[in-house]
Amino acid sequence: MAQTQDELESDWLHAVFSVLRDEAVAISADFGLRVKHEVDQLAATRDIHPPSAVALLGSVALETTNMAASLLPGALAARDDDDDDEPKD
Amino acid sequence: MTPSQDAALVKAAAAGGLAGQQAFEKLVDHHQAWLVRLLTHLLGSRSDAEDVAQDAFVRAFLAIAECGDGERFRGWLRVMARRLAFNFRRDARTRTRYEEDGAAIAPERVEAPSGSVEGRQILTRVLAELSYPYREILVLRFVEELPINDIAEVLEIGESAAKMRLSRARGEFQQLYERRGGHGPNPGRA
Repeated sequence: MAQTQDELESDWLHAVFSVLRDEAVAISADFGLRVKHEVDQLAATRDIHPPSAVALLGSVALETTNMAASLLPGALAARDDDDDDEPKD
Repeated sequence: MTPSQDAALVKAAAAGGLAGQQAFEKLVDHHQAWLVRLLTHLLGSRSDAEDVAQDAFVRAFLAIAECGDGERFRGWLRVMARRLAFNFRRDARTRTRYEEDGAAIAPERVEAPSGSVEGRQILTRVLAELSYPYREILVLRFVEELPINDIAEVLEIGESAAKMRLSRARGEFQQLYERRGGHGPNPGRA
């Protein structure tokens, strides 16, 4: 069966491009290592993030609690009573 | 590597942990050759191809849970890499716009070519001269040998649009190829 013009052109192009299809592209020897190193760093960062975030939130909460406690009237009064170091008449 | 092997590794990689990381590294081992080759032909530079391939693998690692069942990992990675190559080339063009014209993808000068070296040099020169969408679709069809439906998926266009683009790319390629001294499909034609 006769080939169509499209098929002829595709056959021709397949032949022309065969030089690229058949040739092996040399990859840098350390390419795989570079990718794995980056993946390794990402994985490590991902593993470290949750505890770091928890620790950060915990410290913020603690600081906020301390600040709130220091603003309570009771805390102010207690602080006044604690002025033992002040010289007394 | 078969799609089912890919699927198993993708599933393990998506689960995370050290085992997941090791599974992903196996995917890198098995897919790096074709990916760098594809990107080399798209970008005209192996060094640029490796940079983009590395970026593609890193993004794939970060988004591995979105890969689905993993049998289509190769296609999924190809779409991602193609987008990155497109952006890389666009950014490189912006950088070199005021520098030497086309320096980033300039083909090597053809000097006294002969035999298959001649064919290769003309081919790479013509590919570099083609508009990027045409180069891209010709590489996908005639180097990667993808069927038209896969090409449409990679390019994120419809099949009829892919067919039309391929037809135009073939015409443009043939004209340039013959102009550069290559032999077309009808060498005896007047």
